[in-house]
Amino acid sequence: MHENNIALLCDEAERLLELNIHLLQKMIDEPNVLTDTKQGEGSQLFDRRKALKRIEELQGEQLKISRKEMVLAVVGTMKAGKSTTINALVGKEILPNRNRPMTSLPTLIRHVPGKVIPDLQLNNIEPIHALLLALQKQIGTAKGKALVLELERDKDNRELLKIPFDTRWLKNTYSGESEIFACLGALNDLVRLASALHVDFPFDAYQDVHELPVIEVEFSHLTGMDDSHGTLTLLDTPGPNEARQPHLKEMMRDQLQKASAVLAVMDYTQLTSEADEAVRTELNNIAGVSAGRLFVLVNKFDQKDRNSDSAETVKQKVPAMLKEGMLTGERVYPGSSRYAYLANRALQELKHADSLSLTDEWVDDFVKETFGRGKKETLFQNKEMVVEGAQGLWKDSLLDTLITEVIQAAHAKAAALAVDSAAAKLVQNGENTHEYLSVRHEGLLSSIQSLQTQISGLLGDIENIASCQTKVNNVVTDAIKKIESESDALLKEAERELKSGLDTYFKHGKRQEKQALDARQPQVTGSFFSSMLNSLTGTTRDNMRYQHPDFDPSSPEMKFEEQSKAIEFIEKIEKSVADLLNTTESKIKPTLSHIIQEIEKSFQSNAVGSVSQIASQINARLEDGGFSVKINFPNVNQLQANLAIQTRMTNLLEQKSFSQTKRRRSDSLWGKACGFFNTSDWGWEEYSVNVTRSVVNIKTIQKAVTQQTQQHFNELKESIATQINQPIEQEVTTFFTNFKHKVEQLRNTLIQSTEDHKNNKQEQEQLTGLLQTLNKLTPEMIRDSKVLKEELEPML
Amino acid sequence: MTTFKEAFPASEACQILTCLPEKFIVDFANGIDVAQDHLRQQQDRGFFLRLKEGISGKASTRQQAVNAALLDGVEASLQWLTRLTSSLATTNYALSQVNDRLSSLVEDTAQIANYAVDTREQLAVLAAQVHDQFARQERALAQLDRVQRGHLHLEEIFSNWGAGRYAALPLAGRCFVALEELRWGAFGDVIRHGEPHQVRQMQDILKNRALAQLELDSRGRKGERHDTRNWLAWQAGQMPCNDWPDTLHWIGDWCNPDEHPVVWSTTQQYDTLPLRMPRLSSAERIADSMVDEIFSKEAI
Repeated sequence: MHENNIALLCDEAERLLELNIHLLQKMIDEPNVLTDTKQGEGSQLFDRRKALKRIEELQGEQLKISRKEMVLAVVGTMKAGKSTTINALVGKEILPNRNRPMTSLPTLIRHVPGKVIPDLQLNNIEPIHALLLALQKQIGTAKGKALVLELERDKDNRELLKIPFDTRWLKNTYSGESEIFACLGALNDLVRLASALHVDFPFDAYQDVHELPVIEVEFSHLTGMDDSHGTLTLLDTPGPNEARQPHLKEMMRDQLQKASAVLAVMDYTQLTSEADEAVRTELNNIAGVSAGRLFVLVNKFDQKDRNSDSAETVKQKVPAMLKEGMLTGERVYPGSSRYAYLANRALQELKHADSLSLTDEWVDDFVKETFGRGKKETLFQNKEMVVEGAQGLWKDSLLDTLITEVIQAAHAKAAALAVDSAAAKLVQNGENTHEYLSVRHEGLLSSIQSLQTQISGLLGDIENIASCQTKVNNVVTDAIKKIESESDALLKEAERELKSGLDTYFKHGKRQEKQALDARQPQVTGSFFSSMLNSLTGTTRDNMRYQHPDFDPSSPEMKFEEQSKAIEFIEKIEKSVADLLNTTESKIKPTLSHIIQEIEKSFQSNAVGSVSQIASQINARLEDGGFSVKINFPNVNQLQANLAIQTRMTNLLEQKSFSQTKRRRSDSLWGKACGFFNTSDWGWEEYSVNVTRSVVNIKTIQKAVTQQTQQHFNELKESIATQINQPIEQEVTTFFTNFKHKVEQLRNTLIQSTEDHKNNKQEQEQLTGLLQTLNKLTPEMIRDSKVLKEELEPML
Repeated sequence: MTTFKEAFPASEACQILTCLPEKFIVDFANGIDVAQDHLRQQQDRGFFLRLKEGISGKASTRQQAVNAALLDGVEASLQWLTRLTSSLATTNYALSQVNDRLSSLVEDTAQIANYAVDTREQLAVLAAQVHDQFARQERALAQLDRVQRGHLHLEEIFSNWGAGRYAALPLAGRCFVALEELRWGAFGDVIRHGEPHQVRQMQDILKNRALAQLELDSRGRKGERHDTRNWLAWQAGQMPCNDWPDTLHWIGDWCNPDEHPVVWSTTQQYDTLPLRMPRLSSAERIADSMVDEIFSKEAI
């Protein structure tokens, strides 16, 4: 299926949606086809409420197809001018130009023709409310108080701490630029605060792109965009590298994958430094998830001088940074967001005024870029010339060509996504409807007796499922216990190794200490230098010890002549601890993967075996009873697939704990130990009275290390629990619940059939005919929907 | 009485399609009553009238004037029908329908007091004659292997199609005329009177044959879906200079957009597609659905 046929695929999806809605509506309208499930009654395979909900869903799909929302994800490498680019595309200063990387929620900016004053909609505020409450609570706890104390050292953070106690800023709609700025800022702060206070930000609730905050505004340069193209929405995102939160990282990957096109903004001035490995890695990461849809704006091309790369060179250079074939030179645009922004803003303002304001700062920039040294007072008397100049500047920015070409590519992708989503729902609806109508229809044709056999048979199946579930639960519980004991064993092993490692270091250190002391023995005590120091500091305590060397091999204290030696010693310990933790983690990972594989295997042999046996038993019994319909039961493969994702989770786990270690090194206790803050925690003291000597207490070190590794492993265990054990248990429970539910629904539908038999013959015949007529449509609906879905796959 | 082939030497459709006289007779018989089928009356009967005039004109120049005056009268019509049923080769399917129609006409006239005695007698004679003819044919059919005749018929029609006799038609149209030819003849008899398993088997064979031929004609890859309009479109320049469009329109006059979306789009209106007509179709989708639509008609 070629991309040119996308319009046809849309037509076909729209037709099928209409046909499905049509059929559902008929089922609702005709008497006796659907029942109202009353409270307390078991639900059937289908009922009026479900049908109404289905119609709503399908109408939602219709809307999606007709709107064909193109999502253009804009990602920027560090300081490449992503916000400026977005502002340039919109023609308004819609995003604050932030200096620090934003870790906040990604934001959608939607082009809504006619909307001059932008507004921001935050539809899903419940999770944020809950987060604010959780933060308040956390601040109240002992752990929270400690974290707050730490935070309060920084003036910026003090502001952050006020957020949870004033929830007035949180609302559904924000109107105008300043309110939008405030809200985005608050959200950003909230993400940072949550992370600082160790409370999870509810990223999960915003996984779906439709839950993200949306800014609606008219993009000034798209006013002429063809309506048939659908709507254009920009997705402002931190790049996969910029997003420091692991959740956010996954989310970004997902959203970049779903985006209709991805625009990566790079910095031209950074491009020239060959050694910029970070930019290269980042770009590769972006391309990895957006291959085929990637466009690169090499921003700040206006800063080109005689010696820097030409546009042609840039067009060769950037694709060369990526793996072969990921990007062609045609999709690299050396341009200038700043030009575009200035031009766009000027054009926008000149729409409503005869001249630009002489006092605005940006106007100076605009004049400088457009007319060089021309005097703005004289220039502005000629509106035509200013407009012409702005148009020229806009053209020079290259954003115009870029946007035209991006939209073309994005359009096909957006349509394909909309159709794909519809196709999935169409297949599901077709199958469900077919199943229900067939059971009802054939239930009427079979005898009461046969129905009773089916109904009582299904009761037995439900019991079987329950006992099967118990069996599987036991297996899972055992496996989880195994996971726990294995990780405990690894923890103990790690502790032991740590202890012996520390002992070795300590012994080694002591030996060095003794050597140093021996070397110093003949030295005259109370040298001029030291006594002068002593007199300066006014104490002799240490001096005394120095004069009477007190080397004690059993003492937990270790003395160093030079501060740097002590630091070196500590750093060595720190490094070996970090290494050990990494080694332990890398041991845990294969162990976990192995156990998970075992769970999968045992799930296969236990659950899948007996459950699919029950399923085929039900279908065989139905066939014996004269039913031709084959009931689809929840697919066991789904569980496997989900477990496969869980296997992938161990990667995530590794990344997470690794980054935690790193973070700790840089801004928490680990890092501070290196940085000489809070030194007592790390068991080493710098005698303030005598700068030449440092004492390290190995006991304190041991305590600190143990405490921290303990904490580290607790976190690790927690991650295993939340990311592996719980999902597996959840998955198993969900599977069995769904399976049982389906069998119960089938049973209830058959019970309804026995009710149908109580009607008089004429009514029965009428209903039979009706059900048959309705069901006539379902085979072709399923057939066409399935083909549609298959055809879309290569386009996604 | 002349055959269609003789009567319409310039019409490619009349030269090729054997089901046209059959349908013509049935339509003619059905048209005799005062209480005509509403649906049919509303439809454009231009092609049918052209056939009627053509047949009567060529049949007897001397009687042309008389016929023209009497053609619409019941008496003249009965005379016509008598001649048609005895002279034009008639299939079992057409005869059975004419038979049914005559029986109900006899019943109708019995209920009308003071009905012209001549006409009533004429009707009785004709009814008896058709009934005899039908019964004879039924007996003959029972002796012969119906399934074998059905297979032979299938081969004949598909050899026509394969030889390019329907080449002037749109792709879906070719499939449609082939299926209609089959329905009116020996193949249709198997579907109407065969054992359920025979019927299923014959329909499966038919679907496969139609699919294969359609794929061959469309020169597409196996299973590939095309814009539905490509299946329905007439080749450029072909349409205005022949009577195929009218023929298709007339043969398919029994369909409606809700129950027979594929036949409807092929024969009645292909610019606005009904809801049940896919916008993208594979050869298989067209063949399967068309077979179902045309032959499930028999089951009802």
